[in-house]
Amino acid sequence: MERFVQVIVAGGLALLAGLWGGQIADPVSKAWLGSVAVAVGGVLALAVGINSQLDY
Amino acid sequence: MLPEPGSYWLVRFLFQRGLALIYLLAFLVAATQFRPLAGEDGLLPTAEYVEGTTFRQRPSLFYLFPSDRAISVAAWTGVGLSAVALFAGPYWIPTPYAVPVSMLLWLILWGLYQSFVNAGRVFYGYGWESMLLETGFLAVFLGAGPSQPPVVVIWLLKWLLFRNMFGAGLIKIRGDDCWRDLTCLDYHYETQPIPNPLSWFAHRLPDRFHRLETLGNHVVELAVPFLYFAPQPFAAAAGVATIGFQGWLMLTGNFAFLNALTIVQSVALFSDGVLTAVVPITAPATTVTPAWLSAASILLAILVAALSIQPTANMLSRSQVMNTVFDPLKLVNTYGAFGSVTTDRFQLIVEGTREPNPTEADWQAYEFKGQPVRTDERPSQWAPYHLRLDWQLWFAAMRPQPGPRQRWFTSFLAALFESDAATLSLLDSNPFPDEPPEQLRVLRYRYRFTTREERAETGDWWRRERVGTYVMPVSESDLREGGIGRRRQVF
Repeated sequence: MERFVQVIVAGGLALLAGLWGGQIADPVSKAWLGSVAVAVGGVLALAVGINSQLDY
Repeated sequence: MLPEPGSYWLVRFLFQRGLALIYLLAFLVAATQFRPLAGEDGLLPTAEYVEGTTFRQRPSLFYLFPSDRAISVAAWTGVGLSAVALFAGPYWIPTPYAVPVSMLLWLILWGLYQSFVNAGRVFYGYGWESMLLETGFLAVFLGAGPSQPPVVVIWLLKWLLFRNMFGAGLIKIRGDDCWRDLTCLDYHYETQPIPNPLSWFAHRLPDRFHRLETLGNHVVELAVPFLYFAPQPFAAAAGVATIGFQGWLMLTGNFAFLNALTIVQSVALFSDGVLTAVVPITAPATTVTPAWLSAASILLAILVAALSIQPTANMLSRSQVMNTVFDPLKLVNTYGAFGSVTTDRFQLIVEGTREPNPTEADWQAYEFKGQPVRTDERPSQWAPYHLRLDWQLWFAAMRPQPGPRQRWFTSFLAALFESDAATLSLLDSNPFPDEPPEQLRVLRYRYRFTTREERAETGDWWRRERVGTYVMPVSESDLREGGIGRRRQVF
């Protein structure tokens, strides 16, 4: 599996983990904030993974 | 936590109606096109299929009953049963029988369509055929009537949609430089298999728009699919993005029922709560999923998980293969559309003449329903209907001469010499309505869309230039007596 696929899959899974975590945790609790951070990290990884393949 | 089990009744109802409509179209296509393409005397005769494979490899009713009558009965039975499914037949019968009748109905539709796909060979070799079969098999386990659908089947539909979209996203990045430098859509609208009335306009949008939409394509196919498994409203937002993307593709091209089927799969991304908030309908009082159906759906999930190993490994592999099946029943497959985009559009123009020594002016062209021939011909809207001959003509035109996958082309020319009514029904016009031609030839042209100025001046949609001869002028006796050696001369 290429590096960019690893980054995209990891980012997607992090996004999912963050969104489900945010759903389960109490709003604005530490767990909720942590989940949001994981979700944002996931989005960034998705962006990095896709961008790494672009050549424009 | 997963959504409430009872929150998918409307989702199931909408999904089933959409899928039934696609089945209806697919069986209508089979009823009108299968016989001339792959029937007893088709371009690829049924007997060849029977002799060339085993039932275990490519199971089909037509292996057991290789006749046009069986093909016709199966196709029209499919049309009838699809109509029953479209009008929610199982929902009209008493509750205890609704789920078993629904399962039987969807199972028969799946079995009948499986028969056409396996016997149709190159004319049914498209990714959306196995995708319809996989979607249709999952539909068997959704149930009907007032009982709730098994949530696990909704999630299996999400998994199918994920492989459909994510597979397409990966194969693009891997398959062609133009997806990486964001220029693919500079060509796509012009060179796609069958352009539609809006393709010219989409092609003429500014280059900057094409860059942005190519980038948007990557986001929708590589990032958004992960949201299919997210809680609401994120999954629904992913559904809106996916449906919007597919809607744009439907507006600007003819991709048979691929886009419509993907939209139907996307219904699984919503919940009844989301649907009732945006659509003025309500779900009736529901009952729990029958225990035996829940148990069956869990067994189904285990089967799908086991059969997903190879498709997933393929999808993530550096050497990803597009649109591949891994089991004879096509239960879990791998998908991926348009890994590469051609930059030139080639067209085959089939011409005939009744003159023994024709001049250029004596040749008259057959017109196709979807492939352009005349340059003043506005591209037509056909999707979600599938023009199977036209799609094969597009593939055939990519080569300067017929290749191994164009074995059907000799039979096609022979059918034109016979003025075979079934074959001619696949075409838009026959320039020889009274007597068949004495000679046929096939020319190869490069087509491009006219510029705004050219179109304003002439009203034409296309400009073309001849780039070669696909089949030299040939008479019926030449073709019949040809054999392989002669065919080499002919082509």
